[in-house]
Amino acid sequence: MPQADARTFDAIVVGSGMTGGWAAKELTELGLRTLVLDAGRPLVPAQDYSEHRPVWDMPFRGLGDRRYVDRHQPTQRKSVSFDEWSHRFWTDDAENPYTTPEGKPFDWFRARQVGGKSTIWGRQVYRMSDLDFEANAREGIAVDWPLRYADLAPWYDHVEAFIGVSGQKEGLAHLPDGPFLPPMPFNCVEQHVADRIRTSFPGERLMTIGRAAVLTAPHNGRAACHYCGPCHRGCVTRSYFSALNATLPAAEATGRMTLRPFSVVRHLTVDRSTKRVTGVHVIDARTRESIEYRARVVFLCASALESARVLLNSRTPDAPNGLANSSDQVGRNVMDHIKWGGADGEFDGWADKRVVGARPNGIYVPRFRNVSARHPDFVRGYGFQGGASRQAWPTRVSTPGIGRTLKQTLTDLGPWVMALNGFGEMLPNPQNRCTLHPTAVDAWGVPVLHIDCAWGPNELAIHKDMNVTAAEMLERAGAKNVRPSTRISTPGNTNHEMGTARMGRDPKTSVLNRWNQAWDAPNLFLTDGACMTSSSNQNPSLTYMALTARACHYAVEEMRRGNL
Amino acid sequence: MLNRREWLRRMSALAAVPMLEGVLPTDLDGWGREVHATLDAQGGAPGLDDDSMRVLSIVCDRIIPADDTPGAIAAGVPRFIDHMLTNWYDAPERPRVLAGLQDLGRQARARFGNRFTDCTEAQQDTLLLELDAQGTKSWFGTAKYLTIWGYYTSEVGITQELQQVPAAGRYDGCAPYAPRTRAATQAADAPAASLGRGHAAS
Repeated sequence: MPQADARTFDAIVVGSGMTGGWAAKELTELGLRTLVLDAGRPLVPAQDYSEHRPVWDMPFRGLGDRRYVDRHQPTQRKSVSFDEWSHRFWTDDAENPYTTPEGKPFDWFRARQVGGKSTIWGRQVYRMSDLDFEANAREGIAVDWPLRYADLAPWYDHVEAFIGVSGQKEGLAHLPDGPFLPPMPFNCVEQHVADRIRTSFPGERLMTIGRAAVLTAPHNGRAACHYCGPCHRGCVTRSYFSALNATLPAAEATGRMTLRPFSVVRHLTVDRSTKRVTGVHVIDARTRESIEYRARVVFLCASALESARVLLNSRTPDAPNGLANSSDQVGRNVMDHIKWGGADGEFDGWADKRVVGARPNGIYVPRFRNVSARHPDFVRGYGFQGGASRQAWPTRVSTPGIGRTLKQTLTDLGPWVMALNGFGEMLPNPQNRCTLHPTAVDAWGVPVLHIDCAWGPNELAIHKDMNVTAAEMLERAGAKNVRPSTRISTPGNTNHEMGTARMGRDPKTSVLNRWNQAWDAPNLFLTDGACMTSSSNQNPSLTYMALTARACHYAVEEMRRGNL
Repeated sequence: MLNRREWLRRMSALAAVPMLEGVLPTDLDGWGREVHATLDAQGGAPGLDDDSMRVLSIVCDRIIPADDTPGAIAAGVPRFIDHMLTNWYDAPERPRVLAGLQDLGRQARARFGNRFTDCTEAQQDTLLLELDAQGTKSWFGTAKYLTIWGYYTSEVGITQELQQVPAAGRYDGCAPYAPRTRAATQAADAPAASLGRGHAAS
């Protein structure tokens, strides 16, 4: 395909993170000259990764630069992966504002940098199944997914084979296995709890080791994990999957990728006669210069809320409520996963055992509600993550006393504590939506989002049940002082936002078709979390990646057939 | 003692084993240089005056004394607390702790006829334990928290007291453990209370 000029490409990918990295890899490997845009800076692993910097070398010893964070990252700091080392991998909230209604907070975690949020993600990967893909149709909720597990299974295989997933095959129809690398081991208390759950809830509940995109054996030129612990600060051995560690280098190796950081996409440009997207309008983040790039096909992979924002900001006289939005579904159905339901409990015994090494993974209890029997209080379900560890000095800083006895008390390891933390499905609700703020703009003059999202009764019923069943499992396992959770997470805090440009079977009620292709603009694809028709309760990144790879292959075939 | 150079050497050796691409041991050492540059750049921050630092040092030492392992002073805790009071806490906390340190001096003179720094350890502990009983209501709560945090995040605290290897290079979920043994504690020490509890998560 001839290149007309330096600003014309075969394909443009907006975003370079979890899905943008995959689009970059697949499209370039399939022969397309591809421009990959990211709003933020490039990261250089040798300079920017900090996982091996010991806490004693940190200016605030892991407590973070509170004054800076108060001013610049008051929202981003709420992420579990935000710390003194990793805080530079999140955006500056002052430069990137958004609004929420009074009393309805939403935590929006954002990572404007090459690699996006794939550098700081939780690395848990679980396939969805037809229990998930059929749920909307079965229950008459929202719209039906336009695909089923059989459509996506080969793409899950394709993605897992590349990224490397460690895990244990369990043979569950509703949590399909993949081509796993060896599983990480349980610790002694986790093994005990797993054994007790199997015998206490035979055929209903089980506990397995987390399925993690962290290597337990060398894989595709990347090294096995060395158990240093804090993956979210980077990984010089590239042992966990991220765009920076795997997909972007693969795209770079083709010689067909042009990666342009500091590129804030203001909107997409559209040909009014053909309805096709012609390219993107970029604001250079450093010079404020406006630049237009053109391509035959555009992949919007900017993250669910950012991609919706780009579509809404791409409004024209022909499409006053935004591009690809004749259905009025762009920005609606914001979903996350509800968490912080669960319990923890202490275990007597194993006082002569400890953990050596930091395993960047925990346990997983797959969904067991509404799998065979119907629960009276809610539809869908939840899974548990968590793990066991011995209490250490940070839990005991308020111990009374001074001197040698205090020192000994703080140094000694305390009892084993096992925690089960639920992650529950959120139903799509068109009233949970993001819209463009009428006046507010970000540091580059781009209109910002107003996000109006709250848990519904089904999510709250799920959360309540998490506390009950987690406590029940811990008690059956012999835990004492079992403490159910008393907290409910803020929407968005799980960092699984999705649903803002859903796939469907009907252009009147959905934004994308079964190939992640916009009904209203055939050369536009959205493959990040925006496309999700329902949320399932599994961590979603693996599904985003599989859908991205599938859509890329479809788009290239369509181009070759002359349809795009 | 596992010093930082040794730790970096171990990390480098470890990282080099499994077909590492694109990263050299010099990169790791490079980070170390960057870290030191950052710390050196902070040297100019205004600190507590000498008298306050002397009192603070004794306070830290009585909270986490040296025994078989170094204590808070050898771990650089007073300097860390000074840094936190100057650069982390908001304005009310620094004067509160400074006033507390001065009040400690007045208490020592009134009750023992001596400067705090010249009191016996038993006299110092008497004053500090009274403050400790007030919990977070007292400025001492902040000083104690920072002493504990500073000690157990120091190189001394991690590598000598806790005997942790920062990156083990392996995972063993059922490794042997025995509490540290050390010389018998002094009778004057306060008994430690029961353990708190935290929320483990993956």
